[in-house]
Amino acid sequence: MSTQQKLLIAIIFALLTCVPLGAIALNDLGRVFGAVSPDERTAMEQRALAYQGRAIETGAELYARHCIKCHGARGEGVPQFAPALSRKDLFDGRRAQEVRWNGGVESLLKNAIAAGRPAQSRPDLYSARMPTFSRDYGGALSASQIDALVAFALNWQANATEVNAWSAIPVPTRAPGAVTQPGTPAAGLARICQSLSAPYAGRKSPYKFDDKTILAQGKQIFDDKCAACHGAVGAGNGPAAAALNPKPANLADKNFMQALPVDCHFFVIAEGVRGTAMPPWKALGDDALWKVLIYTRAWTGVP
Amino acid sequence: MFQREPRRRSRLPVGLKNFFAAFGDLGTNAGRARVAQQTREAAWRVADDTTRAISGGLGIADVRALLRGDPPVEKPNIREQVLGRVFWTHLRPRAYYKSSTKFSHTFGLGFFSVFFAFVQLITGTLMMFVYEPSPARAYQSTITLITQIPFGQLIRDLHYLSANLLIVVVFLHLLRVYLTGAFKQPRRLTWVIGVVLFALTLAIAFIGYRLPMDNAVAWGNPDDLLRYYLLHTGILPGIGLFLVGAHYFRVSRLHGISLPASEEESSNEEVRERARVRVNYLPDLWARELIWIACALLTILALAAFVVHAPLAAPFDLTRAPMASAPWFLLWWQGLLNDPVVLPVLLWLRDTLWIDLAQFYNSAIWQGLIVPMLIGLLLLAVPYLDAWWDKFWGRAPSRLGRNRKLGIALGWLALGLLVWFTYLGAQTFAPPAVAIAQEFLPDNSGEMRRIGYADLPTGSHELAKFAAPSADRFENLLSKMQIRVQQADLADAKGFLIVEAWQANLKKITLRITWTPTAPGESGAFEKTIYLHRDSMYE
Ligand code: HEC
Ligand code: HEC
Ligand code: HEM
Repeated sequence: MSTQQKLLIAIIFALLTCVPLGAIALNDLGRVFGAVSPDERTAMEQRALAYQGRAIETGAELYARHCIKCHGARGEGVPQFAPALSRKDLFDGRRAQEVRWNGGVESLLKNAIAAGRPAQSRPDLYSARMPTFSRDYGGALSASQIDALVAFALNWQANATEVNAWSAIPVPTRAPGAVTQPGTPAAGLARICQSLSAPYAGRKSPYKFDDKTILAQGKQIFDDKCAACHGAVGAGNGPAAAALNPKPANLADKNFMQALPVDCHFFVIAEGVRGTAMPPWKALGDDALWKVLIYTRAWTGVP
Repeated sequence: MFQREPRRRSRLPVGLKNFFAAFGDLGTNAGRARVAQQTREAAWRVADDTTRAISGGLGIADVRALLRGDPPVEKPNIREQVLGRVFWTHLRPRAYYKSSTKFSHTFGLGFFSVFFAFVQLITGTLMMFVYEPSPARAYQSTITLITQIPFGQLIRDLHYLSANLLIVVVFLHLLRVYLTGAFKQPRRLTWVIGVVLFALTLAIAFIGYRLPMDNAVAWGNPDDLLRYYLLHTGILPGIGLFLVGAHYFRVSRLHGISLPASEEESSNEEVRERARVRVNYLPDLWARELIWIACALLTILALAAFVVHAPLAAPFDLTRAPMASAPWFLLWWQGLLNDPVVLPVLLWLRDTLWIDLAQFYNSAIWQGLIVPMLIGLLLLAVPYLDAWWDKFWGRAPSRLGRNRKLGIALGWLALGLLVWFTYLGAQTFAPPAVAIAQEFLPDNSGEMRRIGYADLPTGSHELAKFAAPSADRFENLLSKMQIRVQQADLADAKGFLIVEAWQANLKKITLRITWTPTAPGESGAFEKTIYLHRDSMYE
């Protein structure tokens, strides 16, 4: 090969590096070049969102390890013990005002988690004390882990409930660690059933309770979605139930069903039971929920 | 040696006097021609001087000759002058023995080691402008680098890629030097420096993995981060740079690159002489290296842009070490802990003769310090042991393969052991259910995360219902899990994957495996949970 040929090859390779470099320039500077429309995201912006998402995942994992026992699996709190965190007033600034916090919501959360609340702000309502978590104050978590927890807590904002922070939650809830008595509905369920509000109060089934095709369809949904926990005939002994605490309810128990009016039954399936493995099933659609409800009630014959 | 001839230097702007003189000349045809001529000459002089300043001595005509592969124009050979007197170019030899430049003799591995080391220096220096070496800020500043700084991710990816390639290339270089017998006198000290460089490369890479303070690495105290940083960015590379200088000084000035042994030790005088024909570095060897550089650059840029991204796990967690604690290039070391040969013998000795060496063998001092030091010493001693062996048998030193069968066999044996112990180190001896969870729900990657938030249906999925492979990615993954659960050494094992909508755009994914306990105290159930956010793209 002649010198000129060698140099030519080197130049071609060198010029080809423009391809990866150009691709990255578009990724990282697409906004500057005007290569993306305002409603699109550049790859770099997507990456920023991705790491925000990953922080939330890390936060969820840390929350499950460090916070559940006081603030509840889904941030619903434990009555008389520790406050809910998925509350509206925590995110819209009311709580900050109440405790005279001049920074934003984010710094309020960060500070509460890092430094704890050695002095209780509401000893009349909650018996627990928020511990310190930052390594700087003798806790176990690093600054990045606390950032992740803040990202996770902030993510409750979208679905935060308008409760008086410091009172009951309108969804059936179990205090973690509460002793389970098979056959008893969730704590407060009876009370909630009595004061059920829109959109659940007084709802009626669109189907007949003895409709064979509805029963068959209901069975299909139940076997598919519920039997793993509740067992094939609803006795609460499905294969996944072994390690659940509290255990799934025994849906084949007559007394249990009698304590659970139809509208409230629908409400429980739709919203789930916080603090337990019972998930909310709203996403299946009302129609499917009614079918599965009719199928499960057929075991006890309670209308 | 070379005396540069004093040359008349031209300067712009040409003096005012000349300018007015020229202005006067413009009145006549002859005057105009003269001015034009003078202007051309002045312009050429300026261009030629500039070229000389940049090239370190080559004028325009010589640059042209160089690029065309013609012989040098100016006498005495101006190229020799450049290679001799300019700092950067004096580092290279002016000429090589022809056969030592054969690609199949060195594979350019030393050259590529230098190349990747340079990529490390440049990308590393750039990252120092963003990275903050404090335990509280390191992780966050790494995220800033890849999400806020244009080309930041590229720089980090290049640093990661070229670090791994550097290790591979330096190791192959060592292997090549060993197998071609190039470590023998007069290159013994070059080998010794090389071994130290190899250890330094591994050490720098090992520490580098700690710096982002993510949970991919299990060792280290966060409060020592600044020390790790200084070692990684200053002290060790400083020593390395110095030693590369010494190493390359010996190669380029003292003993040159070895000739292929078959030619150097050939009985045919003509072969020996042809091997020693001198080839000038300029222009052809230089042009070949330009191809290598462009080719390697293109490769790492394309890989970084389209294929490989440096991973970043969740923040470092003192209480929750990751499963795999050693980086790939130190797995052999971890493999020593799973050693299936020596340890059983020592255990047998302990149980039969009550000579308890097993305890010592299993100690951190032995495994962590003495064994690697012995391996290092052995490598350092290779040329000396080799020379001693030849002397012992009264043989003349020879680099020919057929004269050093034992040495070459030992080399391949060592490579085999390395591969085997790497394999042993990669094994994780987890209980079956834990191993399945680890395989399908690993800490920061995995098919489940790649399927993505949107395509993971909520609900409790009983794996037994997904026994057959499916075109649907999610169901197919479930069927793979089911196969593993069935194959596992667990009585009546069942698996469930429970996907729950957990928060806005966040799903909780739990893999639950149940079985009939056989040993007392066994729980019969294992669960692992991960969370997946809508936006968190995983590759
Ligand atoms: C020992 C029980 C306990 C644990 C564990 C606990 N908390 Fe708390 N937390 C509390 C109590 C009690 C309060 C109310 C403190 C007060 O203001 O009196 C609180 C308050 C908070 C607040 C401030 C809420 C507000 O409205 O002012 C946040 C945020 C918070 N906790 C987050 C967390 C996170 C995140 C974790 C896990 C890393 C956690 N907590 C773990 C008991 C706990
Ligand atoms: C992941 C396991 C799991 C799945 C799947 C599941 N449940 Fe449940 N379910 C539970 C647990 C645990 C409880 C007990 C809650 C408690 O103690 O308050 C429960 C309770 C109930 C209750 C009674 C409410 C109460 O307060 O005890 C009803 C009704 C119910 N589930 C219906 C369903 C239906 C219908 C499905 C399927 C669409 C379903 N469940 C799927 C775990 C599950
Ligand atoms: C950062 C690491 C290293 C760099 C940058 C480097 C660089 C080089 C270069 C550029 C050469 C010229 C010839 C060639 O390309 O092979 C060379 C030769 C050599 N290297 Fe290295 N090297 C490194 C590590 C090592 C190691 C680990 C060893 C062995 C333990 C070693 C031993 C040698 C020897 C003996 C020669 C002479 C080879 C011969 O003459 O054939 N080097 N090195």
